[in-house]
Order: sequence, then C-alpha cells, then structure tokens
Amino acid sequence: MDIKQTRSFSWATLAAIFISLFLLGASFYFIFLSYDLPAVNLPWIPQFGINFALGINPISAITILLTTLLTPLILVVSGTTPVKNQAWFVTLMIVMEFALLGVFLARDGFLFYVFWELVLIPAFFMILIWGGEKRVRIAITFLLYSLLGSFFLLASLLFLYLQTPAPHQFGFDALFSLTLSPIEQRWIFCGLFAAFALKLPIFPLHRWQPNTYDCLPTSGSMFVAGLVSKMAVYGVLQFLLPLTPLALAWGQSFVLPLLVISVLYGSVIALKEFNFKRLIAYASIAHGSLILAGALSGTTEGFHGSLIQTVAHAFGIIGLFVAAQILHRWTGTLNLSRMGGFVMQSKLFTKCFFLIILGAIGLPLTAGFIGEFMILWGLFQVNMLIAGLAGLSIILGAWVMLNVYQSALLGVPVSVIGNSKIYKREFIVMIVVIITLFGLGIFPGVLLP
Amino acid sequence: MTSFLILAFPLFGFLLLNVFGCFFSKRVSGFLASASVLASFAVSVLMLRDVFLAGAIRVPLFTWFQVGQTNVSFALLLDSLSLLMCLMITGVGFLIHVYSIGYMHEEEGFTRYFSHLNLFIFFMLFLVLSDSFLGMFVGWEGVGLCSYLLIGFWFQTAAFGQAAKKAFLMNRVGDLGFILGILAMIMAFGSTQFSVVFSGASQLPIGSGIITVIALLLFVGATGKSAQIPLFTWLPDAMAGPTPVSALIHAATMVTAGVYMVARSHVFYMSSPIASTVVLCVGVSTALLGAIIATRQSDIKKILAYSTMSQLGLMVSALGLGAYSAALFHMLTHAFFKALLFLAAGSVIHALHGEQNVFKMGGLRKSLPFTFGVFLIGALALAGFPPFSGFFSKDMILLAALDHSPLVFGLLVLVSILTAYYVCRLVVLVFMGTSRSDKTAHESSWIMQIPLGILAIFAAASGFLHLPEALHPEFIVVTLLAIGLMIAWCYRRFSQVQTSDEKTGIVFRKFYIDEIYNGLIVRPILLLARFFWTIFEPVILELPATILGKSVMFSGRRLKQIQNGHIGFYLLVMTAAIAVILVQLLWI
Amino acid sequence: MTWTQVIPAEWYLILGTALFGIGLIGVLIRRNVVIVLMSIELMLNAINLILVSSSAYHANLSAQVFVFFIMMVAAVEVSVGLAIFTVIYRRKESTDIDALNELKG
Repeated sequence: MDIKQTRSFSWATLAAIFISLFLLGASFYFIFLSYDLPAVNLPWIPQFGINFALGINPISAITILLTTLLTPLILVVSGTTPVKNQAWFVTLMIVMEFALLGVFLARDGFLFYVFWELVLIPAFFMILIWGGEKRVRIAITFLLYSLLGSFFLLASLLFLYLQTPAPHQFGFDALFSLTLSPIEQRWIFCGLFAAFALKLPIFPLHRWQPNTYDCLPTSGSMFVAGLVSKMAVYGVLQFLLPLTPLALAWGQSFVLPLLVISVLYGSVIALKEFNFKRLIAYASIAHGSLILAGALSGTTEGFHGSLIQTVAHAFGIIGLFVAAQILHRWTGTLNLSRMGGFVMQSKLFTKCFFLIILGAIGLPLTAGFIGEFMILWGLFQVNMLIAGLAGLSIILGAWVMLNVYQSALLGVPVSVIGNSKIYKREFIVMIVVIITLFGLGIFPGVLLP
Repeated sequence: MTSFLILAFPLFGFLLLNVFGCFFSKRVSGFLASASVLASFAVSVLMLRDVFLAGAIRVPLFTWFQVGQTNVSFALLLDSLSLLMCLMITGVGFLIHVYSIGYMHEEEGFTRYFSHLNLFIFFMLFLVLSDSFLGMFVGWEGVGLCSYLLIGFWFQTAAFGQAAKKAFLMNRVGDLGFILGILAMIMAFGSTQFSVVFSGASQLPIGSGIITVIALLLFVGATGKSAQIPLFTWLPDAMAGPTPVSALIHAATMVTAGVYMVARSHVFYMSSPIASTVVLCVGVSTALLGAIIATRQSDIKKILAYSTMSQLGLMVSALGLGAYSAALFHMLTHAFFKALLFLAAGSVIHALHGEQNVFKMGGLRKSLPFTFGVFLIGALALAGFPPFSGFFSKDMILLAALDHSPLVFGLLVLVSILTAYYVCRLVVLVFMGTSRSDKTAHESSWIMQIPLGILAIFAAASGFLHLPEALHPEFIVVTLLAIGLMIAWCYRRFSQVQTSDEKTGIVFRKFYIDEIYNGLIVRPILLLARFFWTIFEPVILELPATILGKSVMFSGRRLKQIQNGHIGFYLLVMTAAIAVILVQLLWI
Repeated sequence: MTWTQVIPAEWYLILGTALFGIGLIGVLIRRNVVIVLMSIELMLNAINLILVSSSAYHANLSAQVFVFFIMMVAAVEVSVGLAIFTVIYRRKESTDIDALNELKG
C-alpha cells in the first residue's frame, strides 16, 4: 500500500475516533450530569402528528452509553487491520453509529422507524463492498430479512398510530398512554416480536447472521454483532413490555419455548462450527435469545438481567472478535481446527483470551454470570422447566468456549504463517473489555440504578 | 475485619505471582505462595478463640447487587464448621505447597502452578466462609475453574486438556442443579443467606415438597463436585494433573465442597426424609462402585482416585444417615491420610521418573524406606486399622449405619472390606516383593519429606480428636483381625506377581461407564450438532428463503412473456380488453 | 320518397359492422404492415359509414361533425404511420410485422 493511501486511512480512522469520543463525552454529560436530555421536540410533519423528538430514559441510557463507549474501541481496533478504502469504511461506521444513536434517542414513532431503517443502509453497503466472495448474496439476504422485520414493525407502528385519538400522533407519550384491548395487544405483541426476533436474530430466522459476521471485516462484524443486535433488545424493552402487558402471559407460552430452543440450537451447532467468526455468530444467537427470554419473562429480575447481559454480551463479543482478528493474522485462517499451541506466542494474549472466554462462559465474578443468573431467576418465576432448559446453556456454552480456547491456544503448536504481531491497541481494547466484564461482575451496582 | 485477611492472603499471592511472577526465581515464588497460605492458616487459628467465645461471627463485606426487593450481598460467616474447613484447607494446603516446591522443581510453569494453586485456596476459602448460598456458588465455580487450570497444567498434551475440560463440564452439570436449587430457595425464602434460609426452613413442616426439591437440586451440585454417582467420571481423568494437585484438590479440598455444602444445609436434609434417603443411596452406591473399581486398577493414582470416590461416598452416606459430625470427622481424617497417600505416591512416581503402573513397581520398601513408612501409615489409616485416625472416623459412620438399618450397615462393611483389600493390594504391589522396574529409585528431597512426615503424624493421631462416644472393644478386635488377615492374604497373593500379570476385564474397564456416557450423551449431541451444521442449516433453513426467491423469479419469468414484442399479440389483447369493457358497460 | 325510407337503416348498420369486422380481422391476422394499416383505415371508414347513416336516419348533424374528426385523425395517422414504416423498412428490408420484434425473451 502506498504511502498516500496509508496516510489517508490513518487520518480517517483518527478523525472517526475523535468524533466517536466526542459523542461519548456528550452522552456521558447528558446521562450523568443532566439527567434528561432537554427534550427536543420540534414539529416535523404536523399534519401527521410527527415530531422530531429526542429523549433519554434509563433503558436507552444504557444502550446509548454502550454504543458510544464501544464505537471508539471498535474504531481503534479497526485501525490495525485496515481494509481497502478504509476512509469510506470508517465513515460508514460513523453513520451507523449516528443512526443507532438516533434509534435509541427517538421519542417519536415515525422518527424511530426512520432511524431503524437508516441503520440498515450503511450495513448493507459495508457487506456489499468489503464482503468478500459471496457478498452480493449475503448483502441481499441481510437486507431482505431486515426488511421483513421492519415490515412487521411498520405495521404495528401504524396500527398504534391509528389507535391514538384523532388527530393521530406518533409521539411516544401518545403511544404509551394508549390502552388497547387484549386482542389488539396480542396482535401488536406478535407483530413487534416478529420484528425484533428477526433483528436479533433468533432461530429459525437467523440465516443471515453467520454469513454476515463471517464476510464482514472484523471491525464491521464487531459493530453489527455488538450494537445492531442491541437494537432489538432495546425495542423489546422499550415497546413490547410497556405496550402489551395483557398479552405477555399469553405470548410467553409460545415465545419462551421458541427462545429456549434457539438458545440450545445456537449452542449445539456452535460445537461443530470451526470457523471462528461463524462460531461467534452462533454463540451470539444463543446469548441473544437468552437476553430476549429474560426480557420477556416480565419480571424485574429478568428485566435487569437482560440489560446487564446485553452489556456483558456486547463487550464479550468485541473481545472475542479482537482475538479472532489476532489469530487470523497469525495463521491466515479462521478455522479453529487448524490452529493450536499459541500459548507460546504471547503469554499476555493467552491470559487475556482466557479471561474473555471466562466472561463468555459466565463465570461468577463476571458480568455474564450476573446477567445469566438474573435472567434464569426471572424465567424461574414464570416456568421452572423453561428455566432449567435455558440453564442447560451454561453447560453447552462452557463446552463451546473451552473448545475454542483449547483448539486455538493449547495443544501442538502450529506454525505461524502470517504476521505474529499483536498491536498494543488490541491489547488495550482487550484489557478494557476484561476490566469491564469483571468490574461489572463484582460491582454491578454501577449499572443497576 | 481481620477475618478478611484469611481470604486476602491467597488472593494477593495469586495476583502477585500471576502478574509479576516472571521476575521471581523459583525459590521466591514457592516461598511466597506457601507463605500466603501459612498466613491464612495463622489468621484462622487466631479467629478460633473469637469464634469459640462468640459462637458465630458474621462479617459483612459489601452489597453485590440489588434487584427488585432482593438485596444480595457478600458476607463472611465464621463458625465452628467454616473455621474447621478453613484450618483444614489452609493447613493441608500449606503442606502441599511446601511439597510442591520440591516436586515441581524442574517444571517450566513453576510460577504459574503456584499462582493457580493460591487462587484455588482463595476460592475454596471463599466457598466455606460465605454466609450465603450465592456466595458459596461463587467459590464453587471458582474452584472448578482452578481445577480446570491445574488439571490441564501440562497443556502441551492434548489429552490432559480434554480431561480438564471434562472435569469442568461435568462440574457445570452439577452447577446447573445448584443454581436451580438456589432459585427455588429464593422463591421460597426470598434470600440465599444461611440465617434467613435455615430459619425459614425449620418453620416449614417436615417433608414439605419445596424443601425436598431444594435439597435434591443442591445435592445434584454436590454430586458433581464430590464425584458421586452419576457425575463421577471426571475424577479419575483428573489424575492427569500434577500429583500435588490431585492431593489438594481431589482428595482434601475441592471434592469435600459437596460434603461441606450438605453438612451446612443439614436443616434441609433433616426436614426431608426423601432427600436424605436419596443422599444415602447415592453415597452407598458410590462407595461400593468406587471400591470395586479400585480393586482392579493398575495406575497408582487411579487407584487412589477411585478410593477417594469411594470414601466420599462413605461421607455422603453418613450425611444421608444424619450423622453429620461423623461425616465431617471422616472428611478431616480422609484429608490427612488421602493427601498423605497422594503425596507419597508422588514421591514414588518422582523416584521412578514418571512410572505410574503398579505392575511395573515393586520392592520399593528397600529403596524408599521413608516413603514406605509414611505410605504405610496412610494406607493403614485408609483401611481403618486401629489406632489410626481412619478407624475412628469409619467407626462412627458404621455405628450410625447400624442404628439406621442392617442393610446399609452390611453394605458399608462390605465397602470397608473392599477398601482394605485394594489398599493392601496397593501397598504390596508397590513396596513388597521384588522390583519389577528397571529404574533405580532414590528418596525424595527433604522439602518433600517434611510435609509427608507431618501429614503422617496427623493421619495417625487425629483419630483421637474426636473419640466416638461408645468405643466398642469388639470392633477393635474384629477390625484388627480382619485387616491382619487381609494383609497376609494380599501379601501371599501379590508379592510375587509379574508385570505380565496385569489383567484387564470389565472391572478394570470401570464397567465401561465412561464409554456409556460418551455414547449416550456426548456423541449424540455432537452428532446433532453435525446434523445441524451440514444438513439442517444449509438446506432446511434456506428453504423459505429459497422458495421465496425461486417463486419470485419463476413468476417473473412467466409474466415476462406477456411482453414478447409480437405486435399481433398486443393487438389481440387490446381488442379483447376493449370487448370486455364494452360488454361490461353495456350489459352489466 | 327519400332514400331513407327506401333503404332500411339496419342495412347500413350491418354493412358498417361487416366492414368493421373485416378490418378488425385484417389487423389481427395479416402480417404485412401495409395491409394492417389499410385494415385500420377500413375500420375507421366503416365507423364513418355508420355515423353518417345514423345522422341521416335520425336527422342529427352532430354525428357528421364526429365524422370530420375521424377523417382528420385518419389522414394524420396514415401519413405518420407510413412515414414511420418507410424508415423501418429501410432498416429491416421486410414488411413482416414479426420482423420488427427486437425484444429478447
């Protein structure tokens, strides 16, 4: 790569990091110092009752912080393995961050939907341009699945809109003060659940995910895995629970078994998946389904548990992907069965990787445990059998993660083909991840209020 | 607050060794690690007086998290039970640390070993000192983690890593039961703190369903940790780790966590006859199975491993019988003599440069007299030969069994006989007769001998710590006779055995239980995973997407033919359309 | 006696319809572009005939106005159509309607 290109992408990455750090600071300010964002409420399209309204509530505070905290980390890591036209890549990430923040900040249904769709576009282009061989197919699959989900979301949103007393409003205040009849609530429940289930994703609608994570460059996968999937959790917590309380008990009878199946399916298939990134995708399906199950248990414990687990999962995924990037650089492949014996390469990396794996397993003293425990607690109150089956995931999850650790690091050493360097940046990111995971594991009080 | 130091020392040791260990020489690392454990021991001794005066002390640490109305916090509970465990853990732990300095002297990962060992001590202490089940669970998982790290210490060998993974996963299965038990407990009593839970439980009627459920679920966790049926196959495989690890973790401490837990929760088991019966059955069958398998093994460590399993079964049976103090007493004596046996076996292995097959040993009595001496003491204690400690503790258990039912008594006596048999067999095969090994053996260094000696003293004498109330002289005579006969028989049988006499058979193969588990559980899951991966995912789940896509393209292709460019066709269609419209206008 | 009383009105109608039908069939069936254009003319003139006779039989002049329009349109259409056809013929060298089809599939 010639000097000019090198310099251009470094500058772009730096600029992007700067912007994301600025956003981080802004979010810190608004969340911790002045609690509510001075509610922005500008009339946009008054004839339809659409306002440009933004605001923060406790749920979105967590997701906003997560987004603004993780984006700089991801960008820092992306600087180490640049792709062609890195500047555009980084720009797309910033646009995605912008759209995500819009999703979390929106206080108006229409605005929410606009931002929801907006997230798709940079992701789609990311896959299309940097996706590797089967990128067209994967990009279109991604788009179609997401649009299907959006369709359900739109339908539900329009229905709710029409329910508000005339003149119809899209604002959250209006939408949330609706009281719907049980039948209507059931429909809305199904519609919203379908929308968010497709986005998360859960079994059986998850086909787009492993391919997407695999073909995107690592930082792109980190973004999609860590943040975009959180949109769905946010949606459930923000919309599904407040709007459809009556339908919750009815919905649980078919949603919870589906989610448990999804959890177990993701864990089981990860046992035989040797491509590290795809394996992370399947593990992500398992974790995500568990989070959703916790959210839909309707209990306080489940609610808190899903929030904590969201944070834990996001950080954990970032850590795993960084490790994947490092391993890929060493061996030129992502196939776990062809790796081995990297303990010798770098002791620090081994320790970091192992700690990240522990976080993913959910060992007590990590945030993952607290999240899982609270989710199981919530599920237990609903249905003990479901909780027990979901608990099987702790066994299977440990199996999968230990497999990863052992095939990648232990055993007979495989020769290092590519570059055996680990950038300090990557270490820093990994250490940040570890500190967060363990810190939250020991002091979760930071998040809970 | 000084009680916090009990935990702090090993934790600090771990952090120090793990982060800065590369700067220390081997001597310093070993010294630091052992010193931290010794410091914990000292503090525990200091706390003895306080606890003796006050009964039980509770030291709140900090609030962990708070959700809904429930507040979960960490706190330490120091009472006679937890302090007893502390002393045992730190005491035996310290001796094993010292021993390891000698045993692991040539090892590459010396510092790493000690850091993990310290971490283990920390978690084990956390386990026994917590005042709530949730805190106990943190320690529970923590020791599982350290067990994984230490079993897989020699990571270059893939098989050891597999053994470690198997241990961890089997533990996790038990942990699932534990977690569900905790959740049931929270549902019933709103907390996991011992004081709250136990007082709540004692107010419920005997045999109530919820207590039984909680007790059984918690016991599932105990079966995993204490290698009871059905979660025991990890213990023999765990012998892949260094011998001192086997001594500490798999003889004296981690495996006793289950026993501790049941003893701590005795309120549950006393209130639920069903749970007690289950515990008893599991304990007795495990004791029997372990003893049977041990009679045919040829690896010295495996013999000891199955013996541990069997003795743990004995302890669990005592718990099931309600003889909690008997169980704890046996746990204590077992810690001493089993650790002693393992460490002595480590001496033997070390002396023979890694040989572990007893059929390739023999006649070591002459070349390793000190080791032989201590090993003999440990063996006699294990067999229950008076006046060594094992006799007293087993006696208590057998007495309790006699009170309960003659069947149980008979089975446990059978276990004792088998125990005596395999112990004598072991001693004779390793130390008596003529040497079948071509290696010259020399005694271990002094640093390994001192802990052996101290443990031997305890193994011999600790029986007198807790004399059973009714000491029947008939018992002593019967036991002496029986064991004496056993020694004589084994000597005749085994002292002139050859290497080729090593037999195989169904017992040797551990009743194929490993293979059964593998086939029934592990393989099907992997096959399922493979099925999902190769067939289900690519084909079946693609189906909706494929169908959708193909149908859209198909209909597109068909519809495209309307626009074929044939003007005649266009004109025909136009005409027809006009006709239809006319008809519609005029007549309908 | 005026001719309107001698020749019944239906005859004109039948004649016009027949001419229209012939023209229609010609448009649909014939392959020569010029013949198709002629058939279209035939159809138009058949309509003219019907209109004029109706105007005579019902003594209504507005139909004749309509006829003027149709004649004008016919004239324009023929000139433009033949012009287009001339250009196409130069490229295609054929008067077959199907030869004009350049759509693939």
